Amino acid sequence: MLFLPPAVLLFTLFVVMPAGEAGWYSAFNWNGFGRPTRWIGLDNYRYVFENRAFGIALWNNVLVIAVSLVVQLPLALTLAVILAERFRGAVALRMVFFLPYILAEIATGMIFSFVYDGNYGLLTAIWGWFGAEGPHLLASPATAMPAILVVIVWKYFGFHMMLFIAALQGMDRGVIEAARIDGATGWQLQRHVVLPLLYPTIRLSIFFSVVGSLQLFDLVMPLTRGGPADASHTIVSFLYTFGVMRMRVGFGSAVGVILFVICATFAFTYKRWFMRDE
Amino acid sequence: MRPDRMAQPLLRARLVTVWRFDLRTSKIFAKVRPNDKLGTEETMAITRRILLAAAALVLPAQIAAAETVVKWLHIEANPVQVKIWEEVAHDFEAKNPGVKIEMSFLENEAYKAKAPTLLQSKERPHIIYSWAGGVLRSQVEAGVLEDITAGVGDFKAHLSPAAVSAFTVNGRLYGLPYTVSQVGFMYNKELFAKAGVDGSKIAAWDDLLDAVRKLKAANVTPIVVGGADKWPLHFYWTNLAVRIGGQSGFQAALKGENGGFEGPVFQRSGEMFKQLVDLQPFQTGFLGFKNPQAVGYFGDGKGAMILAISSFYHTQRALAADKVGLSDDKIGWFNFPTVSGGKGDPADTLGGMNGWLVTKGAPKEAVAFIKFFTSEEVQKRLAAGNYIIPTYQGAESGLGSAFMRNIAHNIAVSKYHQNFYDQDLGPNVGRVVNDVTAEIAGGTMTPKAAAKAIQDAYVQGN
Amino acid sequence: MSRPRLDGIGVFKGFFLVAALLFVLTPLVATVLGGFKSLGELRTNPFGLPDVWEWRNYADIIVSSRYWALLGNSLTIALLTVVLTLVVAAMAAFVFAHLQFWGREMLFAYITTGLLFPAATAVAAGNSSPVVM
Repeated sequence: MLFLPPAVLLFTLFVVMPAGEAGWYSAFNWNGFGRPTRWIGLDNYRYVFENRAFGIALWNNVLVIAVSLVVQLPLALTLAVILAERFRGAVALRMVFFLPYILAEIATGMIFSFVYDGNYGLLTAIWGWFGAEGPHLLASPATAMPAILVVIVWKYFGFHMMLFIAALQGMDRGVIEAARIDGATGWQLQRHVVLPLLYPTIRLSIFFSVVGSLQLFDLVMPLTRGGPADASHTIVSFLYTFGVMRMRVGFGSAVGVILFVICATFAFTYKRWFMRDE
Repeated sequence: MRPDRMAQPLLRARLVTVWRFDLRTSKIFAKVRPNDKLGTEETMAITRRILLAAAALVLPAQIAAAETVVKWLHIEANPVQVKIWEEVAHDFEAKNPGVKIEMSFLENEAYKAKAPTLLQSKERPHIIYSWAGGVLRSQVEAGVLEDITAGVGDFKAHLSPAAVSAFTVNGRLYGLPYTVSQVGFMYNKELFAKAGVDGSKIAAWDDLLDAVRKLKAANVTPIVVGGADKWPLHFYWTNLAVRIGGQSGFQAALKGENGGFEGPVFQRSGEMFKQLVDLQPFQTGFLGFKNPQAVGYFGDGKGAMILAISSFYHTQRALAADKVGLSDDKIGWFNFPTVSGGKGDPADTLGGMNGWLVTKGAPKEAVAFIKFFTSEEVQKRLAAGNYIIPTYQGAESGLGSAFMRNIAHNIAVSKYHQNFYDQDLGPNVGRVVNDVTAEIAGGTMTPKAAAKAIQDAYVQGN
Repeated sequence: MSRPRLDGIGVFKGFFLVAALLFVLTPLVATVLGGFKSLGELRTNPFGLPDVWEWRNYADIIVSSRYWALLGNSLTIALLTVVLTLVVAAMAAFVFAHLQFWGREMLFAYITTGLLFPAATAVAAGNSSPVVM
């Protein structure tokens, strides 16, 4: 029984206490020096909701989640199905697709700010082959967020692909053989046998996607710092830009608390609805 | 297992807990029994180790006590300048035996974000970089800075009074300025000639708009700006405010008179800035250009003008793609144009006043060092390399190029040197100014709404 | 090992793989090669092999002591994280797996909520906490 306290202690110290502190600080107008002294109650929360950029940040987070589900998941699934079989080079290909996940997020951000650079970037060069002037994707509020979405898909689909491959390889071959003997074609096989067997992994993948999307920060900063006219902020980059960088710790804490509530709500509802058998 | 068969531990508890796992009930339970007593050998071993450890702790302290360490935190990324600073530090160490200067570096934005935490920790550096303004005021309020009025004494009379007053809060001095800078238009003489524009004739706002039109007609990018960083854009707006309202306008707004920052002066600034923006003078994709990129772009000769801090004259060389940039004879400078009917004095300047602050509890050698750093000899040395515009009166004669001497002259004759708004107004309101001016430039906010946003943020307070 | 199928499905798979491969590798390869180019050449020749191999770019990094200091920091963090997590989590997992006690479910839920906790909130609070260790 003495095995338990260290975990609980660490958890409380590094997770619960900061959350509690954040809740406490969010009631003050504080610049980070000394102790918080200017009590303003729920005003920080009002400022957060009044801030136009917060709405944009929330919407962007929703976009990231949507893209993760609609683009990244099918892509990862398709690749997993193709690569789960053992043909020559399958393992090597899996490694290559997993590479982006290993890269640090900031490094990815820097690589892609080079790719997206309007004057010297890779995209500009490709456009140049067709004789057109390169697009300045990160300079326009309309295209900044989609550019970031592409980077997100690029980075994380490898991870989800590995999840699915692991699941596919762990599947009971017998069921698939039985279905094939019964005359199921390739496509029917996938849709009616393999996919249902993958549901638990898909649910897990969705869980990781959503939680990760809500915490997106490291990719936004090097690329756009929140983007032209706040167009590419996410909740965490909003917290950092409007809270920490402006020395408004109370405001930042309020955003943090809101984010925590969103995360916790999601986790509990998700567990309740989708992971009943866990 | 009997205890003597195991390796003797360093320290042993008096009681020993023995764990047992009962397979039948699947429960863990514990039994407690007293430990054997420590043998003499063990005691000797333990005492020896404790003495050694104590000695190890005490001795270095003895040695260190003979030397004072001054911790110096800077944000200078240019390795050439850092090298010169290292030499200055060595010189100081040679002149003052027993003092060691420890330099450390933080990047600009990281430094701004970390400063509050850093200044409140026990490991804080003794000398830190500062842009003066609102952040300095909040640091003084928080009590993390050392009052060095006494330590500096009469030395400050040698430095430019405007710069020294920037580092004085409530009559007490907290640091020493070592460089000043001015914001104005740096232009590429060749590109201007190509479009038939004479840079030396641009004096009024309309002249500037005219020049932009001529440059566009000649297919030259009129202005380069680092829009992604936002503060290069706020220079336009703030310079207009300085021209339209002058010092009195700014002071009045601080007091909340005339509608504060929502008042007519600042609304007009926004509208005039919008006038310029509507001509589409900036390079394509300017909102995605970070400042170093933009300065490099200018250094590559791709744009005709840049509203720059005077130090860009130097940095454009390193940032250009060919690492050479524009040579002296190709670069021209004109001050920010005047506005008709503006209350500001044409000689007013907007720019930075940067220096070193001393944190609370720093050794007095830290004060001695910053005095040394701003002494005539060191200032002349840095000026010779065109790294700074010296604050030591008279050291401008040491400036390497005519360009820099011109800037120094501009600042010297100015009666009102306004610090950058985004520093002066503090971290919160300052960034709001940056944001809204960037939005005016991007066409996503009206000048009226921009002025209102600044006033709202100012009222909300830092 | 199964032989690659050259019918419709196989071709589709092939194309898909190649497309995905290009998608993943292009930025990476361009960056690695770009590390060998000078800034001016990056502009004119972003994809191809560099005309002049500027080994200095990589050499400067490897030689600089600051890089190794930073790498050392990363290594320390990685080691500490792995060791601490393994030890603490394994211990806790053992308890949850084998023992029954009052509040087991609650404690389990309490700890797993931590998975969702946005690190950012802790940073905002920890950054300005007066408790500086």
